[in-house]
Amino acid sequence: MNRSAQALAVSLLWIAPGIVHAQDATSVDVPRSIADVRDPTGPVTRLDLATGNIDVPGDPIHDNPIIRFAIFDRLEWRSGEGEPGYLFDGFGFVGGDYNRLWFELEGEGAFDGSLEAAELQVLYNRAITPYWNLQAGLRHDFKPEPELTYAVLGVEGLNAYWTGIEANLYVSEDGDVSGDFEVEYDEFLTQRLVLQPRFEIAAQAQDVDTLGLGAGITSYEVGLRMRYEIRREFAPYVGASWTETVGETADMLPDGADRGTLSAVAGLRVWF
Amino acid sequence: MMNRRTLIKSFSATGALGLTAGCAPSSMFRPVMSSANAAVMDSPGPRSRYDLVIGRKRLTIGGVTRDRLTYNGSIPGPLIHLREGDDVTLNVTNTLSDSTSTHWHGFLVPFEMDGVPGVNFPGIDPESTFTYRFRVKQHGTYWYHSHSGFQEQEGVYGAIVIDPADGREPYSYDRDVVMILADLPRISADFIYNRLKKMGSGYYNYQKMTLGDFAKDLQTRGALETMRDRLAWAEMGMTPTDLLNVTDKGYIFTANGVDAAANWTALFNPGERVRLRVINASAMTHYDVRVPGLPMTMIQSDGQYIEPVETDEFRIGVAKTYDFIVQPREDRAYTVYAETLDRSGFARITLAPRPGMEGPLPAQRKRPLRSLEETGMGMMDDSLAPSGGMMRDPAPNMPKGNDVNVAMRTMKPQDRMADPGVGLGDDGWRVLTENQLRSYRRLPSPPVERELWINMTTNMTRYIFSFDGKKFSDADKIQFYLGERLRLHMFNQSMMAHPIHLHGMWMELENGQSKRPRQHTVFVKPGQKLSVLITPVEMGDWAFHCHMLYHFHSGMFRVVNVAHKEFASR
Repeated sequence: MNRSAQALAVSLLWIAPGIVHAQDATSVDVPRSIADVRDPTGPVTRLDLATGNIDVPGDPIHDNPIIRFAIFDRLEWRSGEGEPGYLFDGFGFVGGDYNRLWFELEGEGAFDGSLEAAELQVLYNRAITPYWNLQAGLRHDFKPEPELTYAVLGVEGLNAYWTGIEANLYVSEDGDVSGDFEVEYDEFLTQRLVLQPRFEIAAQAQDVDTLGLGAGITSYEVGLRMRYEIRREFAPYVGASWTETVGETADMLPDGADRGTLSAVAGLRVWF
Repeated sequence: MMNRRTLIKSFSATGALGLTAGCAPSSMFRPVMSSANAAVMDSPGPRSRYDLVIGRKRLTIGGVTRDRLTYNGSIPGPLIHLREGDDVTLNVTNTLSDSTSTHWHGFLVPFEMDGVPGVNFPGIDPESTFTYRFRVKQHGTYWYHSHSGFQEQEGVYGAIVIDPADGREPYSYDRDVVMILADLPRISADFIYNRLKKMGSGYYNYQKMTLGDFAKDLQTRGALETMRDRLAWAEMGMTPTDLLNVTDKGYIFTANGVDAAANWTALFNPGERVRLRVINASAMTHYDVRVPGLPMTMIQSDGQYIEPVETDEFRIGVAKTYDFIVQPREDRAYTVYAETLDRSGFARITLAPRPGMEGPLPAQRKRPLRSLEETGMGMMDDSLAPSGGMMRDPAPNMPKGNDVNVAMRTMKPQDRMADPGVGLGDDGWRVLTENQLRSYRRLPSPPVERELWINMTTNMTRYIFSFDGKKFSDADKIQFYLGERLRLHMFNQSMMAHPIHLHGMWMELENGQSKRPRQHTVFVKPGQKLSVLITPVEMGDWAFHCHMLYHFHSGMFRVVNVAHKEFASR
């Protein structure tokens, strides 16, 4: 705005005293000019008001809150052919609506033996569509030996068709490529009793002899769990799980080893 | 007891609301109960000065004892009783350790007096007092509340009654009762927000569709329609039972600060006309209000007198007010019953000829289901596409493509002015609809100079709420000009109702009536398209937002700037 316009604005602003706008329709004043403006009482001047140059410190709301979330979707005891085992599978994140630092922790073992598998993923997770997130980062397998680190690229589907989906592609430090896919679905039998079918499948692009993995689909797991949500945050469950090693990976198993295992499972789903 | 008609006569001469008729201490606001709230909801007459202290206090409400936030130690805060035309002084002192504020909901005030931190002023620091001074330019029923964080939800709210300058009300009545509805967190507002952000709105929903419902649907509606319906909801990641996001599992429902069991009571003599001023100070709960056995004559909406409409039930959206008159003739107690829209609970007060009585309590109705048609998603020839689909009636300013913030687009926005809303209209009694509201006085109707469009957009799964796909923090101010005549079109592209509140100026609802009602909060139903007429009367910045607390704190908020058209720098 140039100087003369400013001067005009100021002069207009000071012409008339403030007018009381009574609310009754009989006396509604539709101001015809800027002169119908009250006397400001605060630090904002008439010129600021007229030009719309207002910048009050602070924010009325904070719509980018940082959320901290952690869930153990499966914290369970598993029966098997031999000794019973345990499994833990959880994730968590810190971040806002669109960008999050994501952690995933998964592992299993036998109660009488050692930890057989354990992996940690640290990912950057970004919302890209209403229900899908893109994620990228690192995965480290502490077990089985040898320890390996992978680069991870994947997608996570939140709620389309009320499902949870995760699909990741991995490239190991040795250059081997693999991937996995996971889907689960919650069916409410009652307001607290939830039936959750779950399916998981893994594949390799190449043979990795040190891990006993062959190219192609390596294994899959089908599970059915029924949980009771005592609170939404705390739900014990029971269920069954079928795990099968397939393809070349199965051919690499020692003679006499079972390809498939049916387990009864019992555990807890907890989140914070 | 004081007679209201006498009262009106003596009003301007003496302001003598304190006159006694020889028996009980008189006042128009005269509840009877042992709770401290009896005094809080009472007023001996209009004043031009109130001193409010916002603080923390341990209270037991609905059987739950917790630290709550209060005005002057009570929930609700004291009834503020003003008179139109008076210059009033409202001192608000902050004894909390956080910043606070007070907003006078529905008031036309100068910009610095509107009380939204970060919009109108920096807020009220701990251990300091802010003095609000302004001339009261209106009369009717309003309310006040903190506009800082979630303080309003924790108890920082109260009722306001403003008498007309000349003391003349267009309708006569003998008793005047305020009923301020609210929803008090069982744990805390922070907890609710945290759970909604983490789990979406499923956390509090214990009224979900189960496998049993599915089986029943298959039988009654057939496999094709059932699957089509279910898939359409599933594709949007939503559920037809998610009506309010937070249910009785999260809330204690209150009227005048107490739950239904407390039986808050106001007295009448049979044959007297009782005016009820219903204010919905809830954070997230729309209520359906009725007085079984009595027709209600609606006389005011959002503090504005309307032509009388007789009805049997009305829905009051969050932040709105409705006044009505009932005339109980029998010598018995009546219940003013306020059932939550999702039917998960209710609040009530009792009208009784004597203390210690209780009116009949109606059975709670079954939770309703949203239909796809209702949300403007059904009856499509082509697919029931959610986000990214083609709209038959394109809405300007809608983000294109797969925007993270926009999980749903309404295929067919509808005029829903005659629609009582989900869960109402099938009970065999009358229900108030928006198209029945006629302003008591005809408003001037200058030609419209400019038209604006705004869409309500949501992602319920991520719990992101926005206008036009943009959260407040990513959006610019909306520009209005002083004195111009605006038509603002609102499109609700979501499955939830949004009570949209504009600070500092009226919205005239274009409801098909030539005498349009003026509103401070417009209730926009799912899939609804409506328009309001606006004349900005004060320059400055004004908040514009959905009044569902967790919706606006999740981004459904804007600042409107009103500048002079010729000198605006934008």
